Amino acid sequence: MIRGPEWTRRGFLRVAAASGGGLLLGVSLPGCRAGGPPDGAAGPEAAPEAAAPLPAPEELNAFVRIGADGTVTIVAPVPEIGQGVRTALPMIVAEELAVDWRDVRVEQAPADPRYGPMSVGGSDSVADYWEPLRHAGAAAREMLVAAAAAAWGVPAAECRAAGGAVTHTPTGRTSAYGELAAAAAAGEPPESPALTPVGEFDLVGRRVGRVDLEPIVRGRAEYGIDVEVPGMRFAVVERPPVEGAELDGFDDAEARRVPGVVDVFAVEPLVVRGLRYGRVRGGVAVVAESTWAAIEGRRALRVRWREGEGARDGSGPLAERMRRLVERPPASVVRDDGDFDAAWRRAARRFTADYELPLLAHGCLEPMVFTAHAQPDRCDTWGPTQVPLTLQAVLALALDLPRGRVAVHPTLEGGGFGRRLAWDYGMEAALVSRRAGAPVKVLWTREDDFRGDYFRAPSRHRLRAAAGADGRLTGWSHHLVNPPLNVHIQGPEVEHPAIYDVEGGANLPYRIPAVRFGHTPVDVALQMGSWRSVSHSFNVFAVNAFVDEIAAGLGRDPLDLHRELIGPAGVVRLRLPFPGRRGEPSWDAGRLRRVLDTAAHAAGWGEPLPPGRGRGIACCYFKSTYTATVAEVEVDDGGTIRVPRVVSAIDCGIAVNPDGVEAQVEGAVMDGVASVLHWEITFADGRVVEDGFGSYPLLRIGEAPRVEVHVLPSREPPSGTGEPPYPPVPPAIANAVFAATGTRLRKLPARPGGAPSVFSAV
Amino acid sequence: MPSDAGGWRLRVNGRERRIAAAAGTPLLWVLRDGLGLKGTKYGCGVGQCGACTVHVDGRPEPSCLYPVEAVGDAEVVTIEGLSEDGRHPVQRAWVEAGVPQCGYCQAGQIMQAAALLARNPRPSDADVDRAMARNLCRCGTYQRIRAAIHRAAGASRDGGR
Repeated sequence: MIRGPEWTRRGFLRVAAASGGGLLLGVSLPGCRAGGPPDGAAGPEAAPEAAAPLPAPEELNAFVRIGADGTVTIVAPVPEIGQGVRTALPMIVAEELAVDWRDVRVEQAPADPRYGPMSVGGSDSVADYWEPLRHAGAAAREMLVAAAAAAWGVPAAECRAAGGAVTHTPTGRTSAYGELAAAAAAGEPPESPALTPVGEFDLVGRRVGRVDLEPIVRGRAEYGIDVEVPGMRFAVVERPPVEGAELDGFDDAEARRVPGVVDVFAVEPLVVRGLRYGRVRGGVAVVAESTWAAIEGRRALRVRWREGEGARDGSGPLAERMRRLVERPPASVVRDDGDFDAAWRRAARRFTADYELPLLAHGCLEPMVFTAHAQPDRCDTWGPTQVPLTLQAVLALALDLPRGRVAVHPTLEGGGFGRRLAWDYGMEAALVSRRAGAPVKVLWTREDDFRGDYFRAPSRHRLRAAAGADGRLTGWSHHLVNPPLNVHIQGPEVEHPAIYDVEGGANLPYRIPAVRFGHTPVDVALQMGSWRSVSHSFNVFAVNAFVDEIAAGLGRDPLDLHRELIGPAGVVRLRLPFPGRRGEPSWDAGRLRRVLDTAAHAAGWGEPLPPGRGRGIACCYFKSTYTATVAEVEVDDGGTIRVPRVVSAIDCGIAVNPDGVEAQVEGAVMDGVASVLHWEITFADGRVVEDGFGSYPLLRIGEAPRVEVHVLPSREPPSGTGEPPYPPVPPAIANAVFAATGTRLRKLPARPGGAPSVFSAV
Repeated sequence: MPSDAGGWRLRVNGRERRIAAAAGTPLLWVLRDGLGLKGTKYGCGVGQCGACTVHVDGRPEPSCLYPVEAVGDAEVVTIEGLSEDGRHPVQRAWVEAGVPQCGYCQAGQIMQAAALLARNPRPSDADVDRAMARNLCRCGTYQRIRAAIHRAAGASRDGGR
């Protein structure tokens, strides 16, 4: 969600000769150039071809490079956090370019506006890059064909490209791309190259192993923690234990005696333009010749803090604030269609339930880490980030350098899940390097990573529904209380504080005559952030758990009730009081019904199960992706929940790499199980309690359900798959627990081994 | 073991290496910062995640809890030394099953799985779950890990995929 201006999908093409006579081609993305380097330079970090005498760099957003030797290099514009985009995006180019996938080399783009938004957030990568990358590939192909036709003196229409070569069909004469690259590069890029029609793809839609498999299984893939720069130091930072705490002094005598420690100094807090995503918390850095020396040096450090207000907050007081606020009228009503109050008054049946979801951490297995080399006139950085371009801009502001003098090189990333949308750890590394006067890799220990997370917000929901005498729903009301994400990104003065909190709830995919959605903010002395599927991660739980409760109350089958509420096929458009896409949500009832029915059918919905077992169902949409899940649970007499089987269906439009889509769904299911069984961050006296995998357990293999994924065939443009499969999983499990035990799970998590009383009746 | 020239003499991936490090330094950081063997990953530092798993005389060990002085003359094998060319059956199975997502935990998973198969060439699902319980995957690739281990074991069943 943190990204540059909305970018246009209609680019124009530019081409120029690269050094060595290769073909360099890119899609210019005018909407993005506004955020380009203020000094007009791409910066020395740009790909090698930029060093050649070329037209101004802003006209060169290069995705395709073909060497005279025939090497095809495709630039992966966005970082890989495990979601498979380093494979899927180059596949789109390769499809249109008509090259053999095995001949393609993928190269990671450094931060540069010519590569588009470059952001990994909102599950947008494939959706946003689909058209521009098809254009980039197709334009390159047409230029190669034109070059061959000109060389042979034949009409281009008689030539076709396939497998990395152009063939003159009537004579069978063939030239490889490498032979044509130089001449093609001198040609004019076509305005509107012919794209391969949907349905005729060769590579897109094929199951492809991800491009980094070999280096990963051989231990040679480079993550942020693996970066090595000549002369590099290693650092860890002791940060404030409590939100808002200030450094009151430190004693580093012992720390400096640890062999290998070279420097200890205070890191000043810094907030860029009031943005809390761009905040260095400050603290004390220990710089050393090795990671272990830095860790040992920090252990020997004595630091004093002035803790302030934050130290008075904790999970207990927070839960109490939220409980009180949910009773009151909402601070703002973002949707009020029909007359809910009248529906409630006239109802034959009324339903009310509260749901409580906890703070969550990201727990990326690779903790936060960044390497920076800050010098007086420039700064080079390497590491895992979901937003290289934004980080580049923020670093420029933090260091007071022109943007073109700041380089950000994304590495492979050991998970992201939304945590690496924030810029704090990259900025901190740059500040530590500047002070140390050397390249420095700043590593967050596991404990640092938990304590300094940008947490998934806790939430409390009050749901109310009215039904007529015929059992049909006439009114629906959802009151959400949570710390608003936008306030935690941009600060308290934002115009639309709740804009990132209502999705999945205010735009629920049900046709009910009266729908109201209200929001009330609550303060919390911790930093909130983006977490896989953001507000869908809690609103979709409340919505689907409540539908299940209503179904039970009405004596209806939950699947039938979902179907009835979704209604007949057709697109439903809504208005919400927000700018852009968020003000105009829409959903396709036919597509949602199709995933729901697919999951239900595949799971054997309605078939009998042994005692102690139950099935639950849930569904949602996330932008243009539709997902549904049926979970099967087993609850023993002690109340321990097991999830042996989960069936999920997803309609994400064209599945560019079905293997990658399935992987995302499988992973989302594991997240769903873990968030029902285990995950909760608590805090006391302002301090985060869970600071490791002992107290915040990731799922282990023995708890992993058998997952069946159904990727629905589609001719729609591709949409996201990283986040959408997650939201229906926790409510499907909670609803299955009810089916198995008759007990409602209204508060997450339900810890394993607990008696049924852990299912608190809120 | 202590080296005559100071520091430590270690046998890593079939080679003798000399390395300076303070006593108490975990093998993990000796491998990564000292020997440049960065395939072994830091995940928690307290033996809870398994990302740093290496073989010490064939036993899978979390290298973050293994002080350098405890290695002695044991043979240490890291992911880089599991095979010369990436042809170890577990590595091949990992590629064929498309296990990794972010991939960060996978070196540890592969070392754990290789050690399991070395002592139990035909593990059941329960054997797999028991042995692999020491290794966490945040991306949730467990289903494919099971499938890959059975594939590497040459079993016909495929762990549920």
